[in-house]
Order: sequence, then structure tokens, then C-alpha cells
Amino acid sequence: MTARSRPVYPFSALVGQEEMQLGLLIATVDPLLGGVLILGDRGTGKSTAVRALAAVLPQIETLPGCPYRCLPAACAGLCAACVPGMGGEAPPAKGARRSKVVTASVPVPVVDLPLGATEDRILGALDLEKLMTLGEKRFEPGLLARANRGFLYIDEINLLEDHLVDLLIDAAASGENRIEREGLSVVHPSRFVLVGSGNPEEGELRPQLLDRFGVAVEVRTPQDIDLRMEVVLRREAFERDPQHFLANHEAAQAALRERIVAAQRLLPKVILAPELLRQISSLCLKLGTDGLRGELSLMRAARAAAALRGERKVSLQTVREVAPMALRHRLRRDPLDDTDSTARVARLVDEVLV
Amino acid sequence: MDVREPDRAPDARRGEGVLADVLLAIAACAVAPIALGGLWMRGWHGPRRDALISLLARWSRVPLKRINHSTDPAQLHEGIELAGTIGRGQLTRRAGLLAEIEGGILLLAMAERASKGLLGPLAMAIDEARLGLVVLDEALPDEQGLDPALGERLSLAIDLRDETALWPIAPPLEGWPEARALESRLEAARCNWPEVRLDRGALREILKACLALGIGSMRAPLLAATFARVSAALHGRASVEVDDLGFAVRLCLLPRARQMPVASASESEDPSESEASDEAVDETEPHEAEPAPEPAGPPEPPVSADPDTSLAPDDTPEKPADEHQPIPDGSSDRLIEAALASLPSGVLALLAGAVAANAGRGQGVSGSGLQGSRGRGRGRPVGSVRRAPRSGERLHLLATIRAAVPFQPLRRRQLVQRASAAADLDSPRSDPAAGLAPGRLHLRPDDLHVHREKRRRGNTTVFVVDASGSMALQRLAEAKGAVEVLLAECYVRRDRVALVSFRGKGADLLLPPTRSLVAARRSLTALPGGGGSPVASGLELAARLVAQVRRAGDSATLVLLTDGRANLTRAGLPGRQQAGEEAREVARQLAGLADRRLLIDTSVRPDPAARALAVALHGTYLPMPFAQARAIGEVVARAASTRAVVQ
Repeated sequence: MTARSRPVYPFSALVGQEEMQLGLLIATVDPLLGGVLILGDRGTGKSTAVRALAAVLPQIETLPGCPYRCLPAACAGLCAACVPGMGGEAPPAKGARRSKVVTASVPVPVVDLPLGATEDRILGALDLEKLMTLGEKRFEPGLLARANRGFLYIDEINLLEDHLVDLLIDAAASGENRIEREGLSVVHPSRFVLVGSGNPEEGELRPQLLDRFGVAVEVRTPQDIDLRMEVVLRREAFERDPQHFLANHEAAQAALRERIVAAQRLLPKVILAPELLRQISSLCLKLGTDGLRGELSLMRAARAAAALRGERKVSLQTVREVAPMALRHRLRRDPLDDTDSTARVARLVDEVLV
Repeated sequence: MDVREPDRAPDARRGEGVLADVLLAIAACAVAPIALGGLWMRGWHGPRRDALISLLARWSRVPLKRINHSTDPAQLHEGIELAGTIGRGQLTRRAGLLAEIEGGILLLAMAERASKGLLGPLAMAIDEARLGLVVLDEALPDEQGLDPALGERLSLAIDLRDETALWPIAPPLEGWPEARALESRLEAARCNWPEVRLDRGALREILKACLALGIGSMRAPLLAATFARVSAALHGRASVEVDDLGFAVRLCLLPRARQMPVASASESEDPSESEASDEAVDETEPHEAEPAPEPAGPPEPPVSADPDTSLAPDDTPEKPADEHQPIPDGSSDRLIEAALASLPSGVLALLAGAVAANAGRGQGVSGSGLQGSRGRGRGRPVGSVRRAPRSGERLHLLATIRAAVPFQPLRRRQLVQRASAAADLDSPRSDPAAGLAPGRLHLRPDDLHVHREKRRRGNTTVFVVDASGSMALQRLAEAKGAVEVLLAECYVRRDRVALVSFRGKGADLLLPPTRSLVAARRSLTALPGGGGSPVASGLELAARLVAQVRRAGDSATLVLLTDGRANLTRAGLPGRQQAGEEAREVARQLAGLADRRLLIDTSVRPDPAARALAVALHGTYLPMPFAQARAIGEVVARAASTRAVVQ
């Protein structure tokens, strides 16, 4: 679908949506965090931000032509690219398998999942063309395959049909996609960062799905007229001459990319002091978040944010900053209570994290 | 099908103004369909709409293709044509519609009925600047209409529904002077519009107008700015001027308005103008002030725009502006005012309705979700049924093969016969022997089976709350309490809820169907009480809503909370007798519409009037004195338990 490479608005040129940007960056640094939920109205740059992500991410290594973008070292052996015997196009290295693999650098996939997608489209299905022409039973990978090692973006996720939500929850939890139907029996890796966006006023998200998201960020339309001017001016400049605009932002993009790579490297070494962890736990207790997931994701988010800043030790300030996005969607709430959960988190953060 | 000719002189002039707007929108769409995203045309099929579409076809230089809501979303992308492949025994591909129309204009008819499955990819295609979309939306005024997620991406919106917007047109439109003038400048505009200058002042005005109209989205100002450029180019101007901003406000921003700018009219120095716009909002008399085709802002001291701040490159196109009207600062209120004043009253009334609907939309209409649930291919599979897959249905392969197997020997024999016959005739058929390979399965189109799907059918509970004076304040509070309990129940079942209330002169739709409990609760708390009791009007509005819900494929539960003491007729006249009869009559109609009906009698002791109404409704009667809020919840829960339907 995205065969043509159209110029994409650069991530580093986004204005006025710091929380969303931080949330997305945290997810790129720590993909195990569990995804980003973006809450906000239409036209606030959600889609722009997500689609811009791919360009700032360091490319990944894979076998050329592999639809699953397997890691060369741990390929699932599902496609012609990995297993020479699987017919189709000529395999890259005949005979010599693992030893001399030719790898290629490809951009991190950012896959759009449209609301109206069918199960077949998402999971993958029997390849009808192969079946009709060659009489071969072959699996045609779907969106979950394409999103492997990348991002799966669903706009208006709160309007997604329930049974599609089920598919996503399962795949997101297990990191693989299992297809057992129409005589197919396929398991393929499907590790992706789920990015959903939507306006909560237009419908609620299923609690099970809500829980999968590591962080939930809020976007608002800027009310300040100068900021709005800036947004429009940049966008205009981009649409007028994309190449020029991109060239102007290349330095910033490269710097951001380096920051992400550095943060990814630093992440395993970032430490969180026990006393800070204790404070985090007490915050979660006071907020009444379900289970331990609140602590876990706040911890992860804080470490990723620290890594992004180049800190080896998570600071209180960092925790304070990411606490709202890690916790605001985890409050057990009365469906009829419309007090702002962000405000509740902020109040307790001021109380506990001092 | 008659085209109404203008019969009232003052409105005729305004009609020309509307016509000028509409023609400009069409021309802009023909000039820069992709940059503008597209055009949202509200209104029913008719000679006017047809005339506009043929004008668009005449003016645009890119291919134009028409599809409608029933187009299979799978057709948008390239793929295999299944029936053809099987019928002919060889692979038949079809090109994707999107690829076919790349760079052109796609016309989507009956857009209000289109599923998310179709609209989603189209919205994405607009985002990727692959096409311009012209949407024909035939929704009734009180219906949801086009999915807002798509509408958001189309810069222009025109409304042809208004009968009183008497644009003096008789097709063909090409002969109209405005059309001819535009036509002569199309080509120049096509090359020049990207170079048109839009200075910061103008952009600031657009942004201010957005804020004043409650438009939060950042797409709106961008699209409006683009349109202002195109408009300037179409008027032969080298930079955007006040007139262009006026067009942009009317065609791009007003249709998205969520609020009307407040009280700016009264402070205007120009009395005739403020009057005009005041009256306009009150939609009463015809207006004489303000020449229509000139929506220019009021005269202002010209403040020359700083050339350094202009956005466009300095090499301005040849066409010099004959009169340069720099954009004065702080004219956005005037801009909107002027734009409003230049609209005929009928259009304004429609607009006011749209504003209300937009505002409601913010509170969470998920009409899109409502339609999304109608599509096929979105349920759990249960068995198969014999038919060719259509619109998103999944082929049931095993069942298809099973159906074909018994006929294999027969078909092979037939093929052999046909092959030999073809050989006799020596006609170069496409290799008939190809199908004779041993072990090859011979399928016929009528072998095809598709998955049958079991889909949860959604339920929408429509609450109709009597907020009249006879419901003493305390009773009303109790009723609200009961509704809250019911809302919580609905949340658990993932029902959608809608809220109608009636009091005083008539009924209000407080909340269109939504899943957002927050929105429901908010509108409930804000519900005021007092005034007469127009039960019939309330039920009538509820009936319309229920009909809408049913049309969208949901089941509907009606919960009416009233004491049954109707005292206002539909016409707003007092009279218990008449009002009561009317209420019962509407109730009888509702009995056939809503799947489940429940009347909660909120009077202090059970009231015969309420009971009679419940009988007319063929519904469950539940007097409140005996019904604790909790118990009411249980009853409704039982009444509304959702059922799965097999498609």
C-alpha cells in the first residue's frame, strides 16, 4: 500500500505536542513497554507523529525480501527469503544457509491498520493466487506480519470492532500470530509496538485493551495562536517544498536518531534507586491501580525516559514527568465519574513524589 | 424535479451569493483537488447537484470516477477477481480503484451509508495525497451523515439541501456569467495558485476565525489557507485578500463550526450589518442590507502587510492584483460576521443545526462506529452459506471444495467434449486443454461458499426524560438517579445510549447515540426542569431517533420516564385532552418501532395517564414509587439483553 515513498513530515519538526513525542520516543527506546495510546481530538497531529516515526528510527537488519522482517540470526523459516527450498523467487544464498546470509537494512515498519480491516487482512490468509495458479497452499502474510519488529498504528482504536480487538490483544501479548484455519497452520513472529489513537469522548476502550498500553499520552489542540501559527507555517512550508523542508531538518532528524540509538544502548544500564521504587509503589497504591502493572510500566517508562536524557540513574524529576502517562489509564474508575484522571494522578504525584 | 426559480427579489441576490460560493468551490476543486483534499456536498440527488457534478467534470483536468457506498472496499486495492478466475479457469486480476484514479478525483455517492471499511482507506489515500474526494452526502438533517473522520479531511463543504437558498440556476450552469468568468481563469489558476502569497496577517485571521468558531483541529486552518490561495488565483490575484478569506470562512470553516462566535455582532459599529447578522441567526425576515456577492469585511484602515512575513516566494506571478486589499489585523470577528450576514436565512438555519450537531459530535456521537458494525466480514465465523463472496465476505474454502468434488468427473468430461469441439472448429480458444491437467479441481462460480458470521448486534437505549414542571424538582432528581443507574448498566453491556428530554415548548436531543458514559452523564446533570409537558413532541423525537438506530442495524430500547400528564400538543398549544391523545398516538407508532419499550411512571402515586401511555406503547409499566433505582436497572437489563443475530 505504501509502495511509493512519499515525503513524510519529519518527527523533529513537530511543534507543541511534547507529551506525545516523549511517549512515542519512550516506546521506541523500550519496545517491551507495551505500546502507546494517544488520546485526543482529530487534527492534533496524531497520525502525523506516528507516521513520522519510521524516519527517525535506526534501520533494522533483516533478510532481503522477508515479509516478516525476521532477525537474520533468528529467522522463523517461513518464507522464501529464509528457506531456499520454499519455492518462489530465487533464494539469496543457495546451499549455504545460515553462515553466509546476505542481510539488508530496511526502515522500521510503521503499519496502518484501518478500522474496516477484515480478519484476513490482519492475520493473513491463504494465498488465493498461488492456490489458483499453482495449486499450492501458501500463507499470505497479513498486517500483523508486516508490523513485526515495528509499529502497528490504529487510528480511532476506540471504534475498532471487538473481535478485531481480541486478535490484537492476543498477538500483542504473545508476540506471535497463530493462524489455524482453512487448513493453514502457521505461527509467525509478530512483535510490534501498538500505537492507538482516539478520542475517549467518542467511545470507551475495552479495559483489556487499555491495559496493554504502556503509556497513554494526551494531546490537545494548542490554544495559543502563535503556536498554532507555527504549526500551520511549518506544515505549509513542508507541503510547498517537501525536499527542501526535509533537507533543513536533516540535522535535527539525525541528532534525534543518534539520541535514540544511544538511549537504546544505555537502557540496560539505567538503574532505579530502591527508594524511588518504593515511592513509585506507594503512588500506585494510593491511586489504586490494578495489579502490579502500574508500577512496572512506570518503572520502564521512567528508565526509558532517563536513557533518552542520557542519565544512568533515574531521577525523581523523570519519574514525575512520566508518571501521568504511565498511570492515567490505569485508574480503576467509576464509568460515570468524569473527574479528570490526569488531574488525579498529578495531585498524588505532588503528594507522594517529593 | 423542478428547479425552483427565484420568486422573492431580495433573496434572489443572496441566492447569487450562494451560487458564487458554490461555483467557486467547484472551480477550486477542479483546480487543486489533491491539495484541498476534496469537497463535501450535502444534499439530495437533483438537477442542481447533477449540474454541479457535470461542471466539475468539465472543469477538471484529471480523471473523475464515481463510486458509491456499496463499493467493496477490497476493490480499492488490486487483487484477484475471484468469480472471473474460477469461471474462466485462469487467473484474472483487477486493478485497484485507488491506483486507477491516482491523482484524480473520486466521487463517492451515498457517502452517509458507506462503511468504515470503505472510508478508512479513502481517508488514508487523501492523507497520502493520492486523490481528491468529492463526497455526496444525502443524510437527512437530523442524521449523522458523513463520518467526521473523513469530513475532517475535505477542505470544502457546500450545502444544497436548502430549498430557500434560491440560487437562480437552471442547468446547464456553463452559461452563467460567474461560471464563465471562473472558467476563463481556470488554467491560469492551475499554475499560479501555489505561488499566491498568503501573509502572516491573513493566516492569523484564519486561525482566529477557527478559534472563534470552536474549531480545534489543525487541519481546518491548513486547508482553509490552501483554499484561500486557490480562491485568490481563481480571482486573478497574486496574494490572498479579504475576499478570499471571506470565501474560506464560508466554505471551509463555517461548516465545521462547533460554536457561533458570541456577541461580536452587537459591538459592531455598522448598525445595518450587526442587525443583519443578528436577524440572520434568528432566522426570521429576509434581509436587504449587505450585497451578497461581496462578502468583504467592513472598511478598515488599510495596514500594509509586511512583505518580509509573506510565506510565498517573492517571485510573484505576472497577474497583478488590480486592487490590493491588505488584511487588517483583528478583522476575524468581522470576517465571520460578514460571512454569516451574506448567507440567506435558510442556509443559516441549516448551519445552526450543523453547529449543534458538530457540538454534539464533540460529545461523542460514534455514528461511524454505528455504521462500521454493519459491514460484513466482521464477526465470528459460524458455518458457511452458498454464494459468491461479496463486499468483504470471506470465501469458505473447504465448503467450496466439498461442493465441487462430486461433480468432478462430469465436469472433466464436459471439458474434454468442449475441447474437442473447439479443436473441430479450429477456433483459437485460450488453451482449453489447460484445465485437463490431472488432479486439477474444476470449480464453477456456483460452488462458492462464504463464511457465515455471527455478529453481536448492538443495542441502543434511548432515554426519554420528562423534565416538565409537573415533575417536581425532587422527582426529576430521582429520575436522573434512575437514569444514572441505567447508564451504568448500559456501560457493562457496552450498549450505546441516547438522551432525549422534553419540557416547555418542545423536545431536545441532549445526546445522540454514544458509548461515552461521561458525555451522557454530563448532559444529564445539565438537564434543567420546568415548563409544560409536551409528551408527544418528546416521543416524536424519540421515534425519529429509534428509526435511525434501527436503520443502522442496531436494536433499540426505549425508556420513557414521565408522569404521563401531557398538557401541550405538538403544535405547542395547551390542552390536556388533546395533548394526551396525541401522546398516545405517537406512542402507538413507537410501539412498532422500538424493539423494547419501558415506561417508568415518575408520579408520586401510580397515575392512570401514565399507565394508559404505557398501554399505548405496548411497553412494560413500572411505577417509580415502588421502583428503587436499582430495581429499575435490573428490569431494563432484562428487557435489553442483547442477542446475537446470525447473518
